Amino acid sequence: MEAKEFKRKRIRLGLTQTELAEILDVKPNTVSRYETGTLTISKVVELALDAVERKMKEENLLIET
Amino acid sequence: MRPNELKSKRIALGLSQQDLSELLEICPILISEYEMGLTPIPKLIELAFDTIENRLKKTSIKSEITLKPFFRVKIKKLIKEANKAEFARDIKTLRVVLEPIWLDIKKRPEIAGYDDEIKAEILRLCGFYLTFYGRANNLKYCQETAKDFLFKSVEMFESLDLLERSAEAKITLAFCYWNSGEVSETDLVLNTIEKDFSGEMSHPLFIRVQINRLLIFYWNKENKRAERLI
Repeated sequence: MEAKEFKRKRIRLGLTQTELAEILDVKPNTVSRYETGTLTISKVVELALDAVERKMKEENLLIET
Repeated sequence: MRPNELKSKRIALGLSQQDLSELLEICPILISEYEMGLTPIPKLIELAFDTIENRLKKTSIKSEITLKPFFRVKIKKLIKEANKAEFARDIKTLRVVLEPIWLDIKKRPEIAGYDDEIKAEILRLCGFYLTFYGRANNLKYCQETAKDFLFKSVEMFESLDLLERSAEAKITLAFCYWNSGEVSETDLVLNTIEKDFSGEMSHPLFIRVQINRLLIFYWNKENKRAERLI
């Protein structure tokens, strides 16, 4: 997964970097580093983000844009 | 997530620690450490595992798309189950196991996209099924299709330099000739395996060839030769 895609997904989920960091249980600057491309997005992170998206959909937490 | 929970969920999905580590693209030792409670399971891993669980439950083997690593794990699980049914000579179960990738037994199984080793093993298993199903139902076309699958399987294993696997496929091919009533061809195929393992008389494949050969001697009423072989 590329940095831009990661960022797009987070925004689509309506989450701030801090909120996503809390959900993933990582430091807030880690999310920022993923999005700027200074930190490689591992498969685990990619799959975890998918899980966040799915859980938010299941609980109707996604805001339709 | 507790270590035991990760372990039981992984097992319920039919994944080995190696399989799971491949899907997560992490070191297999980590999985073992998580499961033994030596390393705390990070939230990221818990969420990633949740996605894997969700995809494996939802995806069917037939729909390929972008989930290749998931299909590789699923197909490995299918082959494992098929091997078990083959070992037990449980043809009905074998058919059920192979059905997701082989709907019409008159056609080739759907193996596009898999590694050659997987393709060769599936062809061998389908050939195995066909030869026994054909024999039980007296269907000649089954034996012909089985031969086609098995020749291809042997060829693929040989091109990968997997001689033991190729010998396995040849043994299945020998079964196929046997089931077609072609005793001399059965003998010829067994000869080729015997040559490959001539220096290794305690090799399981060499012994299996001898057992099959005994069957031929029995069939031909060549009791003396059978006694000598024993």
